[in-house]
Amino acid sequence: MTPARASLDLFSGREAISWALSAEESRALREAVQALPRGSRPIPDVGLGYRGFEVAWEGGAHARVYHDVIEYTESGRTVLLEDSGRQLEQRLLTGARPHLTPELFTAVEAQLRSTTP
Amino acid sequence: MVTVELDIFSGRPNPKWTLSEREVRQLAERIRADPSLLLPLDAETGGLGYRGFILNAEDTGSADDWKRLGLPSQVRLGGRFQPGAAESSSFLLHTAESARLDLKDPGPVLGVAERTIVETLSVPGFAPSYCTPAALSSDTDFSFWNGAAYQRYNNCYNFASNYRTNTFAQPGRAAGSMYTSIDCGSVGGAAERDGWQLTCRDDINYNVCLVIWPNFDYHWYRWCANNHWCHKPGQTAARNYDNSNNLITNPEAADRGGYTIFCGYYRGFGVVVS
Repeated sequence: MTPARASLDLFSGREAISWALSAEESRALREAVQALPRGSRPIPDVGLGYRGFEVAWEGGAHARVYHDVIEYTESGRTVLLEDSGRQLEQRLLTGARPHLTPELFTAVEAQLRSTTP
Repeated sequence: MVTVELDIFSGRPNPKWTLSEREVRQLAERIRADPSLLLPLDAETGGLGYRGFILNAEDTGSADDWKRLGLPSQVRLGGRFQPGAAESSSFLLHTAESARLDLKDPGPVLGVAERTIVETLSVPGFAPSYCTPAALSSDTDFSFWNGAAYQRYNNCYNFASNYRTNTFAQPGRAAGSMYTSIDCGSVGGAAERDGWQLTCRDDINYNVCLVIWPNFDYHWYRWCANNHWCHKPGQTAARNYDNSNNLITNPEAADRGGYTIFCGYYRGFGVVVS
């Protein structure tokens, strides 16, 4: 089992694109999430189009990342976190690049930049 | 053989292309369901800009759907004043996408036609034609779809089919032949293999429609109670509103984000998907 998998929540009909993270990236991402301050805003209900990234770690921890909002679940408890610099989202976007066609990457990047947090 | 002429230019020759046998069959089915789609060649369909389509059927000697239905050899369809033909006009326009057109850059030309077709829908009094009797489900109670045990595992196609498989159903998979590209013809064709029809059923119908985010993804809507259209964007919750949080009364005019291509309506009941 891989330490974590990331996926892009984008499509409505097609299966989400997902990829395995290396042990090092899995650990670094989890540490980055756990270091974030608490937030209060939930992830918005976007509908069609880019809806963020998801990361699922082995053991059941799970994060949804949309712009500066992170919804992190561990041991059955969910907390809202805030990433004001959107570094986590950018990191996941960069990691997604090898798994997307150049055209799709451009489309995702454009939606990610155009949608208001 | 049926050729289509997009009647849009004033000085230059209009773009023309030939329909495949399958496209001719689909067009003939639409006309058989609603013969009023066809207009005489000299009908008034607009001034400058998009004026609909001119269809030319050449008799090649072989029996085809066009001939079987006794359709005229030259006829018009669509235009600025025929909102009821918007669905079939969109269908014809999308057949141009896979054709080789004598245009340097067809995108803007087809875009003008597409925008005008959508604009015709705002003509007062127009309402999309539904197949009746219709199978309707609630437009507000989505508890069948939004529970934690199945929301993530069912997509827009599951919702449109009203069939919760927990497999993120794909058009054509149940029939053993999925779509091969993300366009109206391929995804719609796969749905037809699953049992969806372009024409109304005699007994009971789910009224659904297909839209496309060109080259990337597809999406389905289903007609629900109270004249609202409902949908389930991917693994998110089923709902009755669009990306602008407006109740959906006309999916052709709804805010669909990047899913800009409206393919058309399909009908079915008890369709099996997987």
